[in-house]
Amino acid sequence: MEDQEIIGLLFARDERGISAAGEKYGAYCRTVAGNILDSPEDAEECVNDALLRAWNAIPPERPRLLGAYLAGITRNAALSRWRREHADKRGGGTLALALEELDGCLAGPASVEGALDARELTAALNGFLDGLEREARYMFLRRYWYADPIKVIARESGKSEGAVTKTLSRSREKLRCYLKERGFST
Amino acid sequence: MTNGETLFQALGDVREDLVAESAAPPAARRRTWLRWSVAAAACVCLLAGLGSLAAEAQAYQEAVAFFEENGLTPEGLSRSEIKAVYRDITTERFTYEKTAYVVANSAGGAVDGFELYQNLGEPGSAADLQAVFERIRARKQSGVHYEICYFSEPVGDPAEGLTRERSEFAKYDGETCLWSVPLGFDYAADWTAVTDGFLLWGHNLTSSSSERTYARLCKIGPEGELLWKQTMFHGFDDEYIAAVLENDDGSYAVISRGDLHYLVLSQYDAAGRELSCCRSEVGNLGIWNAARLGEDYIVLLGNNSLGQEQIVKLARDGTLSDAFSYGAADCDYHIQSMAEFGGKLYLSGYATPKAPEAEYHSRRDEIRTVLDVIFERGGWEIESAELVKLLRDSYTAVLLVCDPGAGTPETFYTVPGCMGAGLTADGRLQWDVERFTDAYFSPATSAFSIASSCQVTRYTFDADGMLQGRAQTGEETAYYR
Repeated sequence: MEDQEIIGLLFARDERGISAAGEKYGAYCRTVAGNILDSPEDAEECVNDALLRAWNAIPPERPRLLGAYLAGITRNAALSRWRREHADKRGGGTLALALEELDGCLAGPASVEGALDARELTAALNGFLDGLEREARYMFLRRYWYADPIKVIARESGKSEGAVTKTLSRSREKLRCYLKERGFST
Repeated sequence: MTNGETLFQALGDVREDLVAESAAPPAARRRTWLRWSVAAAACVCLLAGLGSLAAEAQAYQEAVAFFEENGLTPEGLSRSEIKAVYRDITTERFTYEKTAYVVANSAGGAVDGFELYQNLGEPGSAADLQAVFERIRARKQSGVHYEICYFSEPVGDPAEGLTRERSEFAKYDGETCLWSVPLGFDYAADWTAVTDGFLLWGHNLTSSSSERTYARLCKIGPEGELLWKQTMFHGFDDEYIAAVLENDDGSYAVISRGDLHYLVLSQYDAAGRELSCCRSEVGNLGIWNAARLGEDYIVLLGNNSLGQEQIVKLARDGTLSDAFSYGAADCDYHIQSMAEFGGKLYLSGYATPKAPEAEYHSRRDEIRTVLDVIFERGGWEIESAELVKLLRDSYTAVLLVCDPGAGTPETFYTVPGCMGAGLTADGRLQWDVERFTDAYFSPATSAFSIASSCQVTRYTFDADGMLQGRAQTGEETAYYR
């Protein structure tokens, strides 16, 4: 079923819309959640939560890219769950590694979130991503949006793991400079 | 929350089109090498001749359109006279004897002050906006151009997997690499062309916070030969170069930022020897732009989160001699580009309605009035045409000129409904102006509230600051706030 048909059903408050969204994008969303969470059951719950949230949000929202929209909700739900589970412990898992890699991209101590406008930071990230080469952008988002392991990114892009690691490292360095220049530091 | 978590969370709200694009890997780029083609060279010669004819016809068509749009009468004027009158009126330089006659015999005023007329066109429906954004992101450089390329090299025993970063500077013709040269330092951030080659700058990469980051600078000759390279030792834990400007005597002014709080001006001679260095504490302000102004330098400093933008003037020896902000009682100016031309400094940017005082600022302040209109009437839906109109009402492209003595900017040219963008000075001044074409409102998206596509018009000025013409470049840009 086309995205616009699914959205049409959701606007008509027809529950077949949510089933169709689950059928079309469920596996995609499960992968996103599965990269963040260790347990497949937890990942499945996040996908169900995301579908429910989409049902509640559409209308009035009208996503332009339904797959990316659902994946985004799923990612947020999975991240919240990951935080709850890791509130008192650090390390372990793909996400922990990815977060550690990102740590150095923001100059200043860890308590910067209070001083940062999250919306402005996201806008800056959009600008940064627009400026990256397509391949580097693909790897960056696969690693830090989808939380894919390095070896998966290497396999999908036809590169060696070392090449992916280096491309990511350079992109992080660019991001560090980009954010620093725009005042995202304390 | 750690810095990594803060960033990871913020990344979760990046635009959906970026996320969707990364669902599949891109096709690999191939590097091809030069093959000469006699036929291609002959085509270039033919096209060059046709180009000048086309440019004349385009200039004439523009002039005719301007006459029609402004109710001017071209009766009794030849083709070249129409163009001359058009140039006079749009530049407000009444140097042509028939101009006054045309204006006097036309109904209504054609031009108000220094305002330049631009046909903004009918707003689009935003139906193809997604395709436009994808086209903008997929755009590749064509023709002869230069790129910084990055590589990794194994160090020591390959089994240990240790690598070292390496940057190269390369000249391309399309996708054909003409030459490439290793720079001799880890990370190259940017480059600029100078009279006899190129200057590139960057820094070393560190693996722990206890290591220092040193700024690096090198010069490449016109045929790709590495002439010299330097490391800057100014006593900072973290220093990076933001801009390099060529002085009239062949030396170079290097503008860098030390430990996030110092503005540093270093002078290097043509052989790469440091002649002087002066640091000034300016606070947590990024170096957004820099340009020469006579014997001095003008630097644009800013911090998005604090809503601060200011211009500082640096003397040749690095002394901070003046600092000023810019704006008016009813609007804020946002500078995008700077260039010295004809002994004056030009600033390209745009004006938006003045934002109220606040502790934190963001670029969202620019669209406050647009959002107010949408929110006040209730509902979340707004058509592209209406939104584009609101954006056009809020933005005015401005080209400011600074007097070399005072340094204070004044309004020079304005184009209502647009944003001033790139500014280049190379024998003539070229000013890019972006006009909104299609837009959509996305209240539920964290990354932006309004997105729009823009089309670029390029205005050209001669050495006296006289407008020589304007042309649509065909280039599209994306706007997000």
